[in-house]
Amino acid sequence: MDPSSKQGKEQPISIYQGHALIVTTVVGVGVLYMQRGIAQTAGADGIWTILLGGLLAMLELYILTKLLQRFPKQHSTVWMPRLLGSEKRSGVGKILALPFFFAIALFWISASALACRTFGEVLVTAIFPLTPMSVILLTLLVTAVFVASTPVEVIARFNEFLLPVLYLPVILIFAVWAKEGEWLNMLPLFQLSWKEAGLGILVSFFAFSGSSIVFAFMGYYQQPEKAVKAHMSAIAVIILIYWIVTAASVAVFGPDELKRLMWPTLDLVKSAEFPGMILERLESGLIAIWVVAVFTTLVNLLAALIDIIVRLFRIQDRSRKWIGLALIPVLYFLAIWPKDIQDLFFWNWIVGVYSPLVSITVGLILLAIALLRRKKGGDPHVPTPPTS
Amino acid sequence: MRRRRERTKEKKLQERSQKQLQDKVGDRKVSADLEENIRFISQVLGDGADLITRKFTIQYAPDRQAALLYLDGMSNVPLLDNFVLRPMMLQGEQVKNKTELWDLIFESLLHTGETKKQTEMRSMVESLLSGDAILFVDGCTEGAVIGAKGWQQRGVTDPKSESVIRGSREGFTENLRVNTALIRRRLKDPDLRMKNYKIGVRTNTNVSVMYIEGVVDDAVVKEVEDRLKSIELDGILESGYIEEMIEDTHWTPFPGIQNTERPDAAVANLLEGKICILVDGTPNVLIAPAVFSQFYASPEDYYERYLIATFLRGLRLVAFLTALLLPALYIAFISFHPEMIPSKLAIAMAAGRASVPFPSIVEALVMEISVEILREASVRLPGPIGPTIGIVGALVIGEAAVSAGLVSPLMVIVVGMTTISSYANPSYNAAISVRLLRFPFMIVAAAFGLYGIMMSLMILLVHLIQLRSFGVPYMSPLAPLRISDVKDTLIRVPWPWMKKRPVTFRPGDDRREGET
Amino acid sequence: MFPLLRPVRGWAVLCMLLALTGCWDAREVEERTSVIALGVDAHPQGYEVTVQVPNPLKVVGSGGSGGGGGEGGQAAVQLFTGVGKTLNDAMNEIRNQTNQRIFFGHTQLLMLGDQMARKGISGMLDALRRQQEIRRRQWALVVKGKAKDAMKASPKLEQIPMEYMVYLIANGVREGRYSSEGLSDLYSNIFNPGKQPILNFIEAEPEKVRWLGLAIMNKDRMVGLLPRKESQVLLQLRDEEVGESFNTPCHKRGYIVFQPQGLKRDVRIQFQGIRPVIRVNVDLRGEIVEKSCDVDLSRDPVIHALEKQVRRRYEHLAQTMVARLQKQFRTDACNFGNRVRAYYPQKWKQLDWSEAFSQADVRVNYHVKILRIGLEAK
Repeated sequence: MDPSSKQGKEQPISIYQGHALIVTTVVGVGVLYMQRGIAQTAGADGIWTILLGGLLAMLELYILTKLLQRFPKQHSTVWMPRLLGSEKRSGVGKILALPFFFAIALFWISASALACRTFGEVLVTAIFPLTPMSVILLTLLVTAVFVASTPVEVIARFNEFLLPVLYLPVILIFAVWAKEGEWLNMLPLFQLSWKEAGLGILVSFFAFSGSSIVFAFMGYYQQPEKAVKAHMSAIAVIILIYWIVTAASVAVFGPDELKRLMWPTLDLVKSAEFPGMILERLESGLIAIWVVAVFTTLVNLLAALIDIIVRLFRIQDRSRKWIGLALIPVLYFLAIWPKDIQDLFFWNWIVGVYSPLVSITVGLILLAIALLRRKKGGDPHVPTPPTS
Repeated sequence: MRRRRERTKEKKLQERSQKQLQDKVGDRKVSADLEENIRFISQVLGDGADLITRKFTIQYAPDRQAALLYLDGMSNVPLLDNFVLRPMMLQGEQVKNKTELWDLIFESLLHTGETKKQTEMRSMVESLLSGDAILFVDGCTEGAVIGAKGWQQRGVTDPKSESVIRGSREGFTENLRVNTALIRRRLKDPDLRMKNYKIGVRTNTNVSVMYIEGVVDDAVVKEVEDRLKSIELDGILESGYIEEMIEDTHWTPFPGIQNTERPDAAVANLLEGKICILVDGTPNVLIAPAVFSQFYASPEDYYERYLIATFLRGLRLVAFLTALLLPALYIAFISFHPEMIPSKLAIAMAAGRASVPFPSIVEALVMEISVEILREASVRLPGPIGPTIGIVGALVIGEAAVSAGLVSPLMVIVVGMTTISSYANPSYNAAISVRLLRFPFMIVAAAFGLYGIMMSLMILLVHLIQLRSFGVPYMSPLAPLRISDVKDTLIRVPWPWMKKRPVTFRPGDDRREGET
Repeated sequence: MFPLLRPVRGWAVLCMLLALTGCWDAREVEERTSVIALGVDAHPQGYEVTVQVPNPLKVVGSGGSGGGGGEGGQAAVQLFTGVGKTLNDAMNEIRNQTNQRIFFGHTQLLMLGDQMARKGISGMLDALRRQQEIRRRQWALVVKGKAKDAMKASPKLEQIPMEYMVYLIANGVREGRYSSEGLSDLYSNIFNPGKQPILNFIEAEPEKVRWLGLAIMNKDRMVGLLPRKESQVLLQLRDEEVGESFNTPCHKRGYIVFQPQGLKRDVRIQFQGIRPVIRVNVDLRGEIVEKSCDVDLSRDPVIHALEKQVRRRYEHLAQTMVARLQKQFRTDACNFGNRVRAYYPQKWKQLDWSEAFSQADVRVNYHVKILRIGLEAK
């Protein structure tokens, strides 16, 4: 029996679930290494560039949210063709909408494949030095696809349930900071030239990729009118998480050692020692818990991808899992594409740049068209076609 | 699910279960000839050895023969002797008219409360089979059904599987009526509804559905009733039959319906807007819909102080995780992450395992399976020696296995902790699913360590989130999160703060106070 | 859909996993040769690595197959030694001697022979930093003589010799007498341009282990040993540790002994041109734990006089120590440079700190307060 057809009524995404979706998608494998890039470009000043980068990410998501709020309770695959095409010939609009979907979906698929590979690299360096990468990639991908091909409401609840789990390592890192951090390591501040500062802010900004999943999920929101608050608070939470991680790394290692650490967060946890610890070393534990963060990122990106495909090509909702299965080889191929770890970080960087680029471009273009053509979502009472 | 609901519409339970009788009895009416009636009944029952047929003469009308029929052991014999046979046989004065006599019997000769005139032979047979006595009088085309159900039954005793320190000592019995009375006595609410069904084509088991009108979600009532009506089975011997016939999905180790032996628990659930399904012949009452968290709550949580109850709930969560994950974690730590164990312990573990010839997964599987066998055996063992054998098995065999070098001492601790933790769960059917799930976790841990455990937890979580019980998401109120309901899941707040019913079950009337 | 296939699929996956168990990275704890202490010495060829491995069955209390009392000292451990041009080369030689995979996840002590430390340890540390198994949180010590010989020490109070040394250091750190810096701090001190590492320096004899002082490092190279008494002052200036009890001659014959209990340190740095002027104020509170001269401690003036005396002694010692750092070691072990880096980034960029430090005008002022005089009232 197909789980999606079990109960007739589609339950749309609540506002808190929307918040959780953003947080869990953006917070992922990046937290394990992004401080290094920030320290390399901004040194100790990463402590504040990350905040400004976060504000940029807020702006990005704000544009998207404002755009999507014009079409409440409508799936992107419904309103975008209507916006782009004429009333009479919907086919034109659909064809015109395709490049936009393709641009966004390209980010989703490459970001999920790279997240998978990056986490695979973490696992290989930290726990499984002898296990073949293919096995790790496949277990991650198959499980993620299994979860991602469940109905959207299940995905939303899944994220909602796991959101608090993401806070646990952050609390641990905060404790390490309090115990091992040195105030002097965070100084001197404001030593950057304007150019360096700009670069530092951009690098920090690129760590916030993934909010474009709202294109897939915002059509399911129960109360899209409250989305701005939920989304902004989500980015605020992410900024807080990133800031704690970055500041803790700078305070504990100092920018100079931080630049040299491959996975600084792991080393951060390695430096932790608390009296009466049952477990002596926590990095395997951290990785195990961080599976949750990586996994939710993967699942959300894939679910968004599958959802768009299903809706765009009017495929039966029951076939989500077959689409997911069909995606596995593509994802696997993309995941093994980077030759080595340097190449991987290069591609991560490219995707990190691509993500805000594409969402801001697409968002602004569509918003401009919507404003020019004075289009708004039709009757808000017309729900999206139910999935079953 | 869909197929089942379609079927529901076309057939009605009552028709089907009576079809059997219909075939034999047809729509035959009570005949005026006494002998013919008696012959017919005994023929329908196939000359049943337990059919008692008492023919007698009514003192009022000595010319008129009468017969009282009942099934031996099913009816209250002293009642029939004293209040049916004695007045009819001893009270004098003659009556001429036939119909007068029949009226007189009802007016003054039958000294029992529940009496009914009946012309349909079919319903008379039904009543007979459910323990009532039937009375035929020669020359009357009507019979009487005398409510005299009274078979040997267990009294109301302690609920065995859900004992508490504080709270009622009464438990449900096998008798449906006693059970409904136990609930009614605690819930003197005119809105308490009770609907009866006869389910099981051959067993004709009485099933009662109870709920509080106005508090319950009507859609769920309808769903429960539809599913009950769709049951096609020849026999219902225990509520477990019903549970499996009406649950949302079979492909899960987790129970979709709660059961309880405690009337107070049943009433508490009714007050939350849930539905109780009582089945004749079993003390286990079904409660639907059920969510995951309620399997980890005990009725006592509501009777003890809230702080203690909250602490106990936390403890049970720890016990749940221990029972599910401890052996898997042992395997993961031993074979993948020894660096996480404190060095001294790691050295001790290495020493303990030095003589063990198997990898930790085999060691753990062997021990866990042995403990499961031991547990199963101790249920079957005759009462007095059960605990003894348990101790012998656990201590002696465990100790011997350690000194023989078959298992490491730590493994024995792990197995012991796991077993004890799974008993900390207040509901047996949820505990048993954890016992089952432990094994996949162990295997995954042996293949991928902590990473594997986390991945399996993800799959388990998504499975739990997908589940529904009568339309209620299984993990609610945690996913989807309903903040107002969390007050009675991981924690229990003081009663004055629980003025609203949980919205999870979509109650018709969500305020606990201020209702009549 | 075939409903029955659902559980079958699940079980099929599990059976496949069952076949996978024990593959690749699964290594039972007893199938690993757990190194608990790692010693590195300089060797004409490059490195000489010695590892200490406990024998679990010989360690008391681990029970095992009913075996009673275990053995302690060197009987409970085995040492392996390997020589090689690189650290991994030397490890390979050890790998060729062990019956199981060698595992560094439990290594708690890194011992460096003083020859090694003087030669420079950055190459060796690189090998350790690249290895995931090596803990960041472990003690790093410099040993007088060879680490290989120190490994052979067999103090009687602990079963595993490594533990004796670890507890020796940990206890001293708790009492504020030794440096608390382990491998993790060594790493960050080496990479932080404003800081210099220090390491505890011990001497190990066959049945005795002794803390001698602090090894002063200039980045990855040891430049000298600071003797015990001066080490206490360094700890006070660098880490705000109280240090051990302190002898002061009375104005009459004999000594009184001051035990510091609380400490506050305040560093002020200014510049005269490019010459740093460093003023350190140390606020010290403590009690008198011993008196062998004839003074009446119940009298305030006496206490004040003693406080002054103690203070002068401390200042003298601190000045000696700083002079030694400036002139002999030319190393800023007090980490004043880190403050300059943090608070005067412009100056920091202009200066060559190691040069500037040796020219710096450093003055240490102590303020001593005697709070208690123990159980004797006089």
